[in-house]
Amino acid sequence: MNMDGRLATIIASSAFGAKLGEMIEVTQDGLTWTLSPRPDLIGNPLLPALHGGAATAFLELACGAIVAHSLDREVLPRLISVNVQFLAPMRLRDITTQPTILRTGRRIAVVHADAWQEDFSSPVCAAQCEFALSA
Amino acid sequence: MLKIDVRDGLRGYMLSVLSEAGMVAIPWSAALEIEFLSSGDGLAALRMPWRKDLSDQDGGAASGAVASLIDHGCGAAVMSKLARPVLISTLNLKIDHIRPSASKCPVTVWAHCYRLTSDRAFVRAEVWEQDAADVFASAQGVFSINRPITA
Repeated sequence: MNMDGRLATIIASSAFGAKLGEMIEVTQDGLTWTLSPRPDLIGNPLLPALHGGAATAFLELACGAIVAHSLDREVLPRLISVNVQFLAPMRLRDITTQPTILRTGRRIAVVHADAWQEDFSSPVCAAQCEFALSA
Repeated sequence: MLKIDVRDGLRGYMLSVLSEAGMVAIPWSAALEIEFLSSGDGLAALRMPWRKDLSDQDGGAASGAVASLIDHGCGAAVMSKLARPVLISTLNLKIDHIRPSASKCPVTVWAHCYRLTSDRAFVRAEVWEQDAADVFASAQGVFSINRPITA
């Protein structure tokens, strides 16, 4: 886990987040997230391709963490909904995202994240997440 | 060194999604210990155990692990509806987390491929712990049917 200490705390609030976090690196400004997938994240061993569920988990985690970070919280917010689109086959190599908070209200935050592998201009998947901010 | 014919491998992979062996063949599903329960006629049921490292901040099954279970369950439902081995891929998936899932409970996904066209499959799924009438997550997705796997 290579990231700012506050982000590391947020991610580790979930045991699953900590597990995935071992493969994640975040730039110093907290904006750019990269997952370097280990072979156990393979969904199709023949290509081999990254599992769609693993990519979804990565995007959900990045989106939730930047919401918590922006609100000075230490725990990941609870996910209400995620809508993910798979745009191109995902290979087993680094996948990067820069999540954008579309809106933070009193009770809900909405975050969008595109992810790319080699070419920033051709994303491989995109997710939109809604989080609950109240307990 | 073992030589694998990609065509055979592809067919074996697609068919194995429908069996317990397939869960081991797909590394991420094996890592989550996803267990195949049953499938047929567009329906599939899979189970994932509760594990500390698969749990979230509230102690229930983590949303990311549940998303993986749903994706795999939906894929298995599509496979069971297809009469022939075909390569499929997830186009989109929408997952709603209705309530937090209970701690220390295995979770079951039930997926239904309710409509199949020549190049797309439409799927709904529900996830619960103990009671199929008390789901904690529901999902809807579209799969692309890419190309037949011919011998």
